[in-house]
Amino acid sequence: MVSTFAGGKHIESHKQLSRDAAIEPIPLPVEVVIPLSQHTGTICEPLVKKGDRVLTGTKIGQSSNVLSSCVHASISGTVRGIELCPHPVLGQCLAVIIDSDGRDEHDAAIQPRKAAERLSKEELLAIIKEAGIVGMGGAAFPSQVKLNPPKPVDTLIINGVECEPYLTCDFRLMLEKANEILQGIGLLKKTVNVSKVFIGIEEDKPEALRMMRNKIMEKHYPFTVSPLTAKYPQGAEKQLIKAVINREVPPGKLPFDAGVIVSNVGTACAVYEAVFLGKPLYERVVTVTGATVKKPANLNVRIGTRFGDLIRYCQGTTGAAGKIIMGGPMMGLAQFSEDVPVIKGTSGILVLSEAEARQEGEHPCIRCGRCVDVCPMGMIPSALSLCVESGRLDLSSRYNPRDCIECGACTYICPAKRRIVESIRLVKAVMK
Amino acid sequence: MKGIISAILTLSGLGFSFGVLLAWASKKFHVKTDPRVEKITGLLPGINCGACGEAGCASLAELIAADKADVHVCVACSPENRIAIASVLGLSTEGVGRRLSQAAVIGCGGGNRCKNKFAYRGLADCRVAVSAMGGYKECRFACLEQGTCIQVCPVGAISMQPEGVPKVISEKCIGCKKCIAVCPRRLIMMVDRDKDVYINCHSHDKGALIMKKCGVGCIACGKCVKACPSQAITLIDNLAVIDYGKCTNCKQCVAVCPTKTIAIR
Repeated sequence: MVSTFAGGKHIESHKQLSRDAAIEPIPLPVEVVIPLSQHTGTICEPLVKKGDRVLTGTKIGQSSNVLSSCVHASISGTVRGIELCPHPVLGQCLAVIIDSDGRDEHDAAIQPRKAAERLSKEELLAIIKEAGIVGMGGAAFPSQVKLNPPKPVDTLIINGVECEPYLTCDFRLMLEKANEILQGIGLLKKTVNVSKVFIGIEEDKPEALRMMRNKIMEKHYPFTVSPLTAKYPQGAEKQLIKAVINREVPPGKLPFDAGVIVSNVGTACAVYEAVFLGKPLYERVVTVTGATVKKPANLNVRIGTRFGDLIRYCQGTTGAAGKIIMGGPMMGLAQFSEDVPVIKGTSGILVLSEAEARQEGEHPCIRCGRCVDVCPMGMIPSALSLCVESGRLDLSSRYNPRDCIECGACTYICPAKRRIVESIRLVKAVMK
Repeated sequence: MKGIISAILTLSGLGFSFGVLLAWASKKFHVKTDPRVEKITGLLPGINCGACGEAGCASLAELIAADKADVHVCVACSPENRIAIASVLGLSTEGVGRRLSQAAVIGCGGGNRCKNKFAYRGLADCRVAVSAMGGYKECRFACLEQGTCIQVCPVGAISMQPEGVPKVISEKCIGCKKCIAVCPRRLIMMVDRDKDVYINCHSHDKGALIMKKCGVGCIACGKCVKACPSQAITLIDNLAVIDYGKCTNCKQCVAVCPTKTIAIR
């Protein structure tokens, strides 16, 4: 049975551009820029200074705050400096710049761990924290905090949905690293101590569904694969929970309030590597795609590699780039510079041509109600947009703007090309 | 003929009885109003800016008449009208008519002289513009030019200048501080009305960076500090700051500023 949630819309996926490109490693970058904040939470304090020699996997930043995640060097070399650098989310952030020595020497602490199956929950959490693992879906929430909920939970949902158009990194991971992901899920299951584990995958990825099912049957894992309707935003946390186990997260609450923890397949893979191989999170899979990119690919990239290097590795673009987006076209962030580095939450780099990035003029709301139909949170986006347009922000609170997950389905569907999500973001910012 | 007479009689009968009913009702259901409230409402500015915290001028007038609010709660009221309100209430007018204290100034001269990092094509609201990568201006302190302060000003005292930055017309400003609340860069300050000079920059960046980004910001050269005869200017974190308590409005700092950052409103 294929399940889903109310609302949402099937969006042309454009995934054929890169879905058949196997994950390939790229040559070591000559320099990396590692921002000290790549996660939700407090920025790290640098642990190195200018001129220090670092090895691949050396911890170079950490914070004493609970809601934070440490960062590691992704190549071996010398620290050139700690400066304000462009950042794909924050615009600007303090970052450690490392010049590569080309040898890629690994830190001595990276050792395969024996008897990994016998580790306790606390030991696993400590390993995850030290490895700097964050949610790999994009929000980059520190995993050791998420996996240690203040309330008991009974279900773990693994997010292999990847509903954003264009992106294929999770899909390729499921095909190529199924064993690692499943072992990682086993570790996650033990860490959060749950009985039920579901893996949600959209049905437009039949290869991934088959691969996961076969591997689970082979190794007799106690996991269930849930095929889901291919619809945007199926991979959003609350929509995924609703579709897989038919529970609703109360407004303003987090998934653990509904007894669930949701984790990405990429995170499961990173947890496997941290626990079994002792490898901190210093590389990830990034989809570089777009109709103008000459050779779209799924690349295994060191954190801190600049976007421009990746686009050039994919043989550049056919025409002038109109927009470079980190993430997918729906929720991704447009970048103003090719110099921004890949961070832990970078799932893809999407290059749109000038024609694709064209922005049309805004028109008055015709009250067709299409945004109401597609809103996965059951909101009335048009009303909020009208509140902003008429300058009556005081009226907006009755439409519960805080529920908005900013998926952009309303803006996508709007025939009047209204910037609905931006309006709702404004309302949220003012309400704060 | 008979029909006409009966119609006239019926209508005048109805008219009379309703007249009696209304006369009785107006006595019976009479709402006692304070005649002073109406007078005070007329003397208040009547722009319903909300700076006093009330819904509008009429509700503040009620509070003033009931002695629950001070005349000075209204920042927009002119001194003459304030005296008039005090005399309506039968209060002493001494000190009530002192000059209005402050008017807003916007401390950024960047505008189109400040370079852009990228083209912003989002909603025309500074509060949204600042959420896109921390703003599209090279300078992280610069005005975002979307004119949210202009939109919220209840008296139209702020207007966009050709340089791309908004400016407050002091004569029109009523001091309600609504613009201060919406500016995401915190560029707007209240300055005493008898002081004309202000620092038209909020950047704490070093001078070399300022010259690269806009060329009209405070480069912290310290010339104004030396020129000020009353030691009212200090440099705090690469930015000149005027202590208006000491400032005598002599404008000597304006003359020496090499980047023309110290402005006259």
